[in-house]
Amino acid sequence: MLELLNQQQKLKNQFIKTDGVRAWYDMSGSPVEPFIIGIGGGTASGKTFVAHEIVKRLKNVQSIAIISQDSFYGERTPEEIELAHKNMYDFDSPQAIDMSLFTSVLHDIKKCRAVQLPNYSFVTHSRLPQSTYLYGARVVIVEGILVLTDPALRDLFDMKVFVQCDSDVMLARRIKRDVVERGRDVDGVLNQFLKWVKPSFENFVLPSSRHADIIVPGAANSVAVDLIVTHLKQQLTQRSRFLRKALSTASPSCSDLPPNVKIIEQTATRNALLTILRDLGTSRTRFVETVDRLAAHIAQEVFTFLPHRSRTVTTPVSAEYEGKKLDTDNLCAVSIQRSGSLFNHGLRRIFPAVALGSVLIQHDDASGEPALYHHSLPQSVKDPKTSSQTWVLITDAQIGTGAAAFMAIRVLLDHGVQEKHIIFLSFLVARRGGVHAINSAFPDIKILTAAADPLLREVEVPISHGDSAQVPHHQGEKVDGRRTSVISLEQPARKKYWQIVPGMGNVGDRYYGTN
Amino acid sequence: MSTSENLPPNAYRLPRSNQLEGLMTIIRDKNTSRGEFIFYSDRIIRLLVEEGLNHLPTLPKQITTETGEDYDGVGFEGKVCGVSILRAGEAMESALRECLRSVRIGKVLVQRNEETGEARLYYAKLPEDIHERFVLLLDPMLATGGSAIRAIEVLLSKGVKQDKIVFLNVLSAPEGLKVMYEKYPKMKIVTGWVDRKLDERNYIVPGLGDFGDRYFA
Repeated sequence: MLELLNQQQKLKNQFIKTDGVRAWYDMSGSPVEPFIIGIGGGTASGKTFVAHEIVKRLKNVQSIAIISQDSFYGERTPEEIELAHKNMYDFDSPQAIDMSLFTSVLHDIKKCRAVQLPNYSFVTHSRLPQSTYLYGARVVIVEGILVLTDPALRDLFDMKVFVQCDSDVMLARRIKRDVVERGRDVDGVLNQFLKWVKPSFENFVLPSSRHADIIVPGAANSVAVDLIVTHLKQQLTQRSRFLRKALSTASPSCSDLPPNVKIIEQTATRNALLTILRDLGTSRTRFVETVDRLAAHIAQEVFTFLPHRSRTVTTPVSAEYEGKKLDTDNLCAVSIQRSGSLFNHGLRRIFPAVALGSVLIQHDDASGEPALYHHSLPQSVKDPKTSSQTWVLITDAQIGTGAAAFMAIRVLLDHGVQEKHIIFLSFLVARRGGVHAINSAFPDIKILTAAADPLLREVEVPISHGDSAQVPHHQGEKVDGRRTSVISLEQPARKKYWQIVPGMGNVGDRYYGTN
Repeated sequence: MSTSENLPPNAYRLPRSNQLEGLMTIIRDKNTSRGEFIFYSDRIIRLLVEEGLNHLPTLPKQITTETGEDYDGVGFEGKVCGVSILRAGEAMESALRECLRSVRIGKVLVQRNEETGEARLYYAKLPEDIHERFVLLLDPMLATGGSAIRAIEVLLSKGVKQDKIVFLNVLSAPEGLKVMYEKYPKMKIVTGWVDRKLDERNYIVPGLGDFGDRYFA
């Protein structure tokens, strides 16, 4: 069953990721839609071929998904399954497709949400129990014979393409595919073709071509594909967002913290820990211990914001005691790599088996814009059934411009986590930094920090060899408001970054000894 | 028990004690909760790190004890750092810190493209003077070796010597060990256990599932 699933995914649905995904939202935090192309046309007309030709020409697009209509064949009754096995079920009629599920999944994709794509088995003629997770595609190609027939589906496409092909050629390809790849016999295939495929083509598929923006020949179509790609690139440029500068200048001149920032209670111990972290002369051993301790202090304060219910227990002296109990089953943490991981040790002291996810966000080389390179999220966030009930602690050592924080928050919201269930933990924030932009975009998210410093300033330093020049396209550091890379095609000698002042320097480097 | 003779010359396995076998049984069990998985795999990793340190060279070192007597002991020869292969490799960092208090730790993220099978480097942040150091490379699972090879390429490109790398993993497949020996015969591998084989999906069997998923999320 699993092998079959993999095989089908290889043939049909694909997710191609070539680079980090840049901001897919604006300053208000609202998502900017991906570009969705619907490709219709007769059976074996070359839809998949056109899709792959488009992908080939989009080398600079960071993430592209191809989704097949075949995934959305509906659930069948036992009678229908029996008919299907005898080649007597009409798979070419729009009724065979679960159009409402298809539409709702695409609608979610248009809203930049994470989705689960169903998987259909042609062997058992039923939907497989495992679905396929898809998130972060900026170009989505939807292909299938009937994708242009449904008005609701059509409305979701930014561009509608119809692939035209000679019907003899389509029949020849169809026989070859069904016999070789799907193990059918020729008589059955021919029967099916005359009984279902041809009428469907004439009644539904061909008429849907009038909705197409462009009609592409099924072969020798490179001019048409070039036209599509040219338009697509224009659209993508219009949809790109550059937030870094806006984020760093959005802060007010006064140094009042926005209401979403909560500084943990200042105690003598905590002040002493912060002093050790700020001290240039602190040894790494001391620094590591202190980070781990302060992280535990901050994690402890999280309980103030988590829901509790009352719980009565009986004490060893047989008296009743009315106490409290944490009232959530789904609590997890997501760290922004690398310096968000500094919280992991302390977090697990307070929440021993808490699920720890991570997101890797780095600066693009030239623009300094953040890009999402990788995410590994806890199951309760990935599962649409639990995400809206899940509490998430996002961790990063500091919030400067807030660009990485902003992106990590957007990732969680796109998975259905509620704003009010997100608590951001950091050791230090800049008073005039990104906390203001985060507050205006996501007012229900709380930011819990040990301290807030007055200044955020841009500085330039020589680049060290410890930074990886091996990684192509993005030799900068990650964006947590402290470092960016220099705009240069040469190996840059210096780089600019944002610094919190008085601050504690680059805590990731100090913790891991990579400075 | 028969695989011990078949280990490549650069690979070392933790001795199969009752303790280790008991710990491995707990973390292999799919019904083990995350809390227990963390606790018991941390214990195995601690054993692994200690064994890995045995493979670093030492120099004679004479010291004077409290009693005023001279003692001919040994000291570690060179500087050491850790490099974890994200994400699962991070699970081995705290055990490393327990053994080497102020150890520098680099990180590498390699992701496998499901379509092409190619392992791609997404991120690398390493100590600046890594070429002067011994490197304990951390990744709990050695299956095909694809990610490890990509990570080792990064280390070698930074001037790390092959014979100064010790690759630590909790569980490995014979196929992965073989590939590692063919490509990097001078690198040492210390593994907690060698399993039967890789299955057709390249999962280690009997294995323990996805270490990173079970330890983190």
